[in-house]
Amino acid sequence: MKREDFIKRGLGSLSLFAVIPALSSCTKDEVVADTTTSSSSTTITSDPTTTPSSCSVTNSETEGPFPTKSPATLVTNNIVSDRKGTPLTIKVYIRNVNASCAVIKDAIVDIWHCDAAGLYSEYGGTGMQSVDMTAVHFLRGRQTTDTNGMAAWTSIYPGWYSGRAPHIHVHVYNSAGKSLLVTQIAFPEDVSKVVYAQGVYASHGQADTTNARDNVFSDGTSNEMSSVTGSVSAGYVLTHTIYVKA
Amino acid sequence: MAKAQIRLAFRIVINKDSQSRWEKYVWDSTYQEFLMQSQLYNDAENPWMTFKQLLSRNEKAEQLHFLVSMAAHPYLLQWKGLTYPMPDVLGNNYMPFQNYRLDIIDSSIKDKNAHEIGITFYSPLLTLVDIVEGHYLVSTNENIYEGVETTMYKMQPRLSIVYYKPLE
Repeated sequence: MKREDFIKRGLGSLSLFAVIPALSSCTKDEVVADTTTSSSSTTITSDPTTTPSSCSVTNSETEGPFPTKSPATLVTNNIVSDRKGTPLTIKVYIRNVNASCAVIKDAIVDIWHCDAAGLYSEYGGTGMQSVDMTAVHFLRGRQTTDTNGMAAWTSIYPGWYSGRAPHIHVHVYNSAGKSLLVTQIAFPEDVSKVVYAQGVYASHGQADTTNARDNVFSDGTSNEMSSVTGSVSAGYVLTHTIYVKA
Repeated sequence: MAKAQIRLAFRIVINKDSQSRWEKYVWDSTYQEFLMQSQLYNDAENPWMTFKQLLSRNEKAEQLHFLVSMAAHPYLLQWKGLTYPMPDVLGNNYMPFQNYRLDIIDSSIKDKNAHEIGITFYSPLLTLVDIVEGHYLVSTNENIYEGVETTMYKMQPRLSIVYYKPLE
């Protein structure tokens, strides 16, 4: 069987994710109303057409909240969660090498990067004591490209960790979920220097690895270098184009 | 007599035989996420079919437990901190959970029916007051000598004490 086939089959309803988020806040109260109706028939034994002399609210019984279809946590354009840092808007354009470099609409784009201290969201250790359940998936996101081939996120400027130049990871899929490219985005060093000298980044200091010495970018960052504009006070905007074979 | 401060963990398994709508949603959603994210670790031309095969060839695929959990997360949030499959003996109070961890038992990129996951729910710290007839008698209050509200959970498979600190 072809790889594309099984992915298409499994991902047939993926597009549902994008259109259903409005339903995700369906509340428990609606279910309580349903079950109250059914249980009331067992508590009123007299003629239902006669008004009793006194009455109290029928007990509610629930079997847990009513489940609703929800999009993956990934499908959110603000991926900051509880992390602190200098605001960064990330705009990624996807273009097709196999189609005269035209933009690709409906490509699925995953990004992930580390926080100001250089840490990624992931499971740690065996105990769960120190992890905030609502913030466990910070700085990871998935968007689908628009008609301009663009996917955008609201995030913070990534920090750095020893041995690597600052970067953002990107995984590009076609609309059926088939992997097209796994790559990374590099940052202009003059901008990183300004960011890492201030705020929550200052205590971590300057990055210890330049783009030239980085083992991922050292073969040349011409294809992977982003354009970053803005300021520490106003926040930065990153723009980058990724070319894939689709 | 207070014995200890404990944390309880309760694990459920979701697979092709799971019946509730919530479980089916989690099963579908995590399988789709597995198909997408496993490509990060798999060979594009000659992919390993099952999660266990992939894991044995590429240790980094261990991250898939966490990455796939993102697809289940919205469903976990719908429970608002209550472990509905783990009621107390009264049957209408549920073990609270502060955190959870999803693990992929196995899966296959060609056979959805092989997709099987576990979700472990971790309670906040509780005071283990006593063990009564095969039940944990616990309280969320540590100062039990002034009289506290308690609840009882029946000992059962997949319910475990995962943290223990003796109280004098």
